[in-house]
Amino acid sequence: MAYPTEPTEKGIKDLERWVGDIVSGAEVKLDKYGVAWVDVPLDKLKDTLKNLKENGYVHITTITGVDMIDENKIALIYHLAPYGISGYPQLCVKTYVPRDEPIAPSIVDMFKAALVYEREVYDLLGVKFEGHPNLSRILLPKDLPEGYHPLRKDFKEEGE
Amino acid sequence: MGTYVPLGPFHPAFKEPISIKIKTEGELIVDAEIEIGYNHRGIEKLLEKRIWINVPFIAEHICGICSGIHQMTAIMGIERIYDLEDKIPERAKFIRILTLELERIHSHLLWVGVAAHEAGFDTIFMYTWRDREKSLDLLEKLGGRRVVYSVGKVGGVRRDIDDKYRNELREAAKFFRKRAEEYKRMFSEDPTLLARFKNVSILPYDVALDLGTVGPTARASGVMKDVRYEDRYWGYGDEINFRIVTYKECDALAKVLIRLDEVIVSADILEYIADNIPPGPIDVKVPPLKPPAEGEAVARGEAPRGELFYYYKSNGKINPYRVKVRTPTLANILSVAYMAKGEYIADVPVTFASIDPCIACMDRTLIIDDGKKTRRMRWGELLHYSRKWFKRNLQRLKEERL
Repeated sequence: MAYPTEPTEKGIKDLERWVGDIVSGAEVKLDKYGVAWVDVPLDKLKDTLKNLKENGYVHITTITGVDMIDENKIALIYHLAPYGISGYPQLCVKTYVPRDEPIAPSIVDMFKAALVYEREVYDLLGVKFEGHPNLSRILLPKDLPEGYHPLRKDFKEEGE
Repeated sequence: MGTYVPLGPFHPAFKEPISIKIKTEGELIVDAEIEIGYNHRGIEKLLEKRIWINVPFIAEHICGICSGIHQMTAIMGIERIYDLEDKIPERAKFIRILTLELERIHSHLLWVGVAAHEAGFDTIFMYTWRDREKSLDLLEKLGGRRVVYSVGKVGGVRRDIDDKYRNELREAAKFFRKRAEEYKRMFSEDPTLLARFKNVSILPYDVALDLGTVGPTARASGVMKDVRYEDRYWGYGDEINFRIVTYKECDALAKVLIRLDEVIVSADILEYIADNIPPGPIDVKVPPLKPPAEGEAVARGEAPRGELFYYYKSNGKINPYRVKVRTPTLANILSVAYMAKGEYIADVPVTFASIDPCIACMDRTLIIDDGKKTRRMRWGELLHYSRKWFKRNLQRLKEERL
C-alpha cells in the first residue's frame, strides 16, 4: 500500500526511538516541508540504517555527497523513504567523512540500489566505500587519473 | 564458458547510447553487465554556477522527454529554499499539474510506440506517435514550444490558460481515453504482441522492492510507490484525486498496460483541471537577485518514469552550493541486468525498453532568429541583446501589464 509521507506525532517518536536505539541522544529534526533530518556518527551509520530498514524504511532514494571544503570534510546524506507504513516522513540520514581520507562503509549488503549510488559518489567526489564489490567510475571515463573528482570544490576546470 | 556479446554503446536496438555486455550460452543470457555514462555532461557542476532563479531553466534540459517534471521538481526545491511554498497561488499549482499530466500522456504514448517498435510492430508505433501529437500541440499552445516548454518559474507559472484551451483539454481527454482503451485491447488480444511481451522480462515483487525500482516499472510488479500520492505536492491526492494503478503480473505486458492505464488516469486529471481550475493570479513576485537563507532542501516528484529527486544546499549566496539530481532511470537500471538473466538474446530490446529508459539529454546550443538571418550567440552577447531588447520594449510591456 502507498501511504502519504506526512508525518504524525507517533511517526516522529518512533523514528527518534529507532535512531536513538543505536545513537543515544540523536535528534530528529523535522523541516517545514515534512522531511526529517538526523545526524549520525560514521561508525554508527550502518547499524542505524539497518535498524531503519527493518522497521520499514526499505527504499533508498539516493546518496548525496557534499564537499564542505571550509570544514575539511565531506557530508554523505542517505535519503530514505518509507514503504508500506503510514505516518512516517521521508528521512535524510547525514554523516561526515574527513576530506583527506574519505572512507565510508558500503551499505550494498542492505540496500542493493546503493550499488550505483555509491559508485556515483565515488566517481564525482572520491569517497571510497569499503565493501563495495565493484567500486569504479560510473559516469566519467574509466581512464581518468586518480584524484580527478569534479564535484570537489577545489577542482580546477581546464582553462580556468 | 559462455560468449560475451557486446550491445552498444551505439546499437540499432537502443535509442540512446548505453552499453550492455551480455554473457550467453547458446541463445540464453546468463549474465548482463550495464555500463552508463556516455552522455554525462556535468550539469550538476554547471548548476552551481548559475543564479537560483535560472536553475529550473537549465534543469529542464536534463531530459528531452520529461523536461516539465525536471523543471517543476527543481522549482519545488528552490521554493523550499526561498521559503515560498505556501505563497504559490492555487491557479499556478493547477497549471503545473496540467503540464505534468500532459507530459505524462505524451511520454507514455511515446514509450508504448517504442516498445511496439522494438517488438517489430511498427504500425502501433505510427499510431501512438500520431496520437501523441495532440498532447504536444496542447503543450505548445501552453508554453510556446513542443519539447522544452518552460511553463513553470520560481513563484508560479509563466503562462495562463483561457476558456478555449479548457474546451480543448476536455476534448483531448476524451480522445486520449478512447485511444488508450484501443491500445489496451490491441496489446491484450494481438497474438504477435502477446508472444513478444507476455511472460517476458519478469521482475518479481520482492526483487523490485529490493533493487529500489521506481515508477511504472515498480508498479507493474505490484509495488505501490507513487510520489504524487506519497508527498501530495500541489494538491495531488488531496484535491486532485486519482487512483494508483498496479499490476501483479510483473512481466513486460504489465509494463505496457500500466502505462496505458496511467494515460487514462491522466486524462481524468486533465478533465478535472479543465472543470475546476480556480481563478486568480498565476505567480508571485520573486526578486531575482535576492540570495536565500542558508539551508538545505529536498524535493521529489513523480516523473513519467518514476521518482525524480532534487537536493539543494544554499550557503546564503546568489548561486547554489550544491545541486544533486537523481533521475528515475538510474534507479531502474539495475533491474534490467536482473531481468535479462535467463532470457533469450532476441528479448533484450524488449527487456531494456520495458523500463522506459531515458539516458541522454539534449545538447545545448542557442540559435536566435534575428529577422532573416539565423545567428549563433554566446552567453555574453545574449545577455547584452536581452537587456537592450528589454529597455526598448519596457514601455510596451508596462502598458500590456496594465
